[in-house]
Amino acid sequence: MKLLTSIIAILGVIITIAFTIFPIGNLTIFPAIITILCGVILYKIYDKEGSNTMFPKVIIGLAIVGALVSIGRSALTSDKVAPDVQFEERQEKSNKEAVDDLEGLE
Amino acid sequence: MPQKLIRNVFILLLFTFHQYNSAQELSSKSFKSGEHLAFQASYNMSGVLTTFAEVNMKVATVKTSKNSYLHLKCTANTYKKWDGFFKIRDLYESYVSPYSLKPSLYKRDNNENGTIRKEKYIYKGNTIQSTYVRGKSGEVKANFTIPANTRDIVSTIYYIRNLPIENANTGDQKDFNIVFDRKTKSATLTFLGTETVSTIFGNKKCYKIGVSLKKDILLKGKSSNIIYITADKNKVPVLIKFSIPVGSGQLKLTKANNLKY
Repeated sequence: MKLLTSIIAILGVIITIAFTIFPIGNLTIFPAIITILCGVILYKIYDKEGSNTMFPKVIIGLAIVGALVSIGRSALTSDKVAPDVQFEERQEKSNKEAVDDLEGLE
Repeated sequence: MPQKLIRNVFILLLFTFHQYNSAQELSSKSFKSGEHLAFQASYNMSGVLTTFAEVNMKVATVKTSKNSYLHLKCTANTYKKWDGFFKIRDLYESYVSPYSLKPSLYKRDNNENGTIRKEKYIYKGNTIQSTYVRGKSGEVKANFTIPANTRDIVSTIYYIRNLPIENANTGDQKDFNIVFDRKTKSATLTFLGTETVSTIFGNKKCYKIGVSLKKDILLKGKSSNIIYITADKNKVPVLIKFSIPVGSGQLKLTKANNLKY
């Protein structure tokens, strides 16, 4: 039970961190919740055994921070396309070439 | 994954409107030069829709010394937040007759995270003179034939918008061809009736259309790829739900400027 919960918690925290890095918004909340639940279970187990509870505390802390960062970033950043001069130039160049091609067809 | 998504989104977009007769004449025009539609593309991850790109469709008039053409342009740009992971800047264009919407020139210029794909088709009857570039290889020229009335991906979108969907009955199906990647693909559209959809215009009655590609792993199953277009004269695609081998997602209309009606 303790080993299984620890493995799930570690995997959960890795996924939470990975999801925090990628811009996939609120999806991070799912692995974070699982990680926090596992962390709480581990905390109770460690506490009952009288062991050092640093590990579950770190797991819970990382999951909470990851979820907060993701949710915060999702709320604060809007869906915007960055200005891209090169892409604009590609489009203009394409327009000019197209007119030449069309003239060639006539 | 986003690369496939963008491509499939465009393939899906071309089926946006169903044609139920094979008439070559346009019944009416549902758009005009200057129209601009913008869509937000989202991908479904564990039931949560994650936005990743913006798709724009614009119509403009282009004049040469002798003729006038409609320039139909589709662009796909990943959002700023995704650019650091997978940057997409895709351009698809078709130059068509303003009367028949018959294409004369099709161009594709894709840059998907540094991978370049370019294509140019010059239509000469049932023959296409194509020029293409893949990655760092040089320009390759190739001619190929297409069945009659086969159109490119962009001109098909606008052509179908002009056909009389309003006359279709639920369950009606139509097969047609498009040319993409120098191959002709057969597709089936199924009219699934009407449904009221929440859109930027408010709650709108929309035509519901199922889409599937024949003999292709993409866009299989008419019930999982559904397009909603407004049941009015503008026939604007407001919501497109798609399902592909790597997942599912949707395109939602976020902006519509210079509509004809």
